[in-house]
Amino acid sequence: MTKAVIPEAAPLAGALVRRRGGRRSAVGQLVPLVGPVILVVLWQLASGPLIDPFLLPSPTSVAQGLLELWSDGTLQEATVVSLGRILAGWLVGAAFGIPIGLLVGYYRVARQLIDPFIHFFRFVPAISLITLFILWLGVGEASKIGLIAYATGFIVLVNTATGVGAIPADKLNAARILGASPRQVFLWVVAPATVPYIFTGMRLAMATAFVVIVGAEIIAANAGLGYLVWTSRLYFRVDWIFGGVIVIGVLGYATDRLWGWIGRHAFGRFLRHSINY
Amino acid sequence: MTASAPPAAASRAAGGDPAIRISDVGKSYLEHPVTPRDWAIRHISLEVHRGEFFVLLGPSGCGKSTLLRLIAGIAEVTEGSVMTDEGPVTGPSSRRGMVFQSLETPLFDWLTVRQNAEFGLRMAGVPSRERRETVDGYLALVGLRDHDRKYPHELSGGMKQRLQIARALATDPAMLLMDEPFASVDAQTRRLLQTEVQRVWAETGKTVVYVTHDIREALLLGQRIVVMTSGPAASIGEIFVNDAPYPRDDLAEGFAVMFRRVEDRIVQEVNKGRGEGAA
Repeated sequence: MTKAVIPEAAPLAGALVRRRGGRRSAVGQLVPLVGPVILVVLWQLASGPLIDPFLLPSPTSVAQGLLELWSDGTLQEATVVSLGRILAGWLVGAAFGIPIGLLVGYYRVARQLIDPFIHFFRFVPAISLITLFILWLGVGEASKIGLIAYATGFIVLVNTATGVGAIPADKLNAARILGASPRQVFLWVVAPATVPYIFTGMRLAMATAFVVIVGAEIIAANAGLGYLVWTSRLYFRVDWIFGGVIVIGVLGYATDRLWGWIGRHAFGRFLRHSINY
Repeated sequence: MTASAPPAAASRAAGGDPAIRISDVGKSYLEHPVTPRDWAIRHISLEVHRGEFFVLLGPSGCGKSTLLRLIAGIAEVTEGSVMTDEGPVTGPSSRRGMVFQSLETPLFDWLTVRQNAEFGLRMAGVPSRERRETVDGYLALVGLRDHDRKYPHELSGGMKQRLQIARALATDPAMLLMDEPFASVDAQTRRLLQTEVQRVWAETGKTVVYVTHDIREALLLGQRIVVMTSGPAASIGEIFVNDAPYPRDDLAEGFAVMFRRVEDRIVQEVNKGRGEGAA
């Protein structure tokens, strides 16, 4: 009887983890390609007649250059090496950034103790510390991974702490009134309610990881995409430089999409409203 | 439908302690309140009877929600005390359940309807089987039994508020504190929810302290209705007793008479507040 008189909400289940605007049509899915295609066509036309092909190699010559790098395995090796460092450093950074961010966001004492360090070190560019990292961690992988962890950890940390601060007071009060101890509030409400901010922080941090790894490889490495781009200058292979840059951008784009996909599928119930971009 | 008899609040009140005893309570959001203007509410003394439906009514900004938050223990009194069965209120407790006005923020959006309703029991370490059985009853009570696998964002505004009610009831609190719970839902839904709250109150016999600025709602639901004076330093203006049987008819003659009396009192408060503001 009760049910009959209650107006039910339009079921919103479909909106669960689908991005705003819902499913796109087949033609709609091609829209994002319009810009890049136009750019490549213009680039092809400009290279040669308008601009010296040495300074601006055409897309076809860049493709040839990439094919060269691919056929001798250089490109694959560089990609694997760089991605491995990025992934490892990014995960280590998140492993520090998330728990510290939650603590700093939730516990006033933790914030007072740790805040000065956070807002000092997050402004110290990772690149400026490369030499120190190499001195301390050696020239091997550890120094690059450590550097990426350093650069990404603060981004995740600050985002996480911001997320804790953005939790509505009602939500915390509701939990306390339902009998949750401070520790239970932390584990059962603060941590899950902060997931959207953690997710976004890690997404931003991924871009930083790419920036830092290329910088680090330019300065101190003998493999990786940054190394590839940097050493191409020695052979006057501007097409390789272009190729390397394009590969880095495409990899970044792909990891960003992949992270979004993981978010929608693995953390959907935490993220529902927050992955519209 | 027969009129469900209200729990005999008056007779219960005659014997035993009140459910809530508020003694000369004042709340200031300043550290060192000096002038009367520094106080949100002040000099409030009240007793809420066991099983009573008690309404705090007043214009916005009169401190009625502040008083409710003091009872809930999510704000601290600056002076005076709030006593319940547990002694003086010093913090929140699952014995004092609360339903918030906001439709979105109080629910845990990553948990299903059932998990939200089970939250309090889970925090208390109640085994899952027992939780399930208890919560089944409360979800059925508010008509959400068939929606238990949904997430909050899949619910209408009215359903969200009913989930809040079920969640608060699941820990079997001594009282239910309701802070303008239906102010954010549409008028049609609000009418249904008012009827439901009255029914839930009648069935569970809980003490209810209900904050609203809606006179009609106050008169439909409340046994005693406190009109607060306008702030700052708001206090008790007048207490109206409504002993009409439930469910109440807002078109009845007696209802209109009472409505006018309460409204006049509130208008008087609002005008007084304006006068002071201008001075």
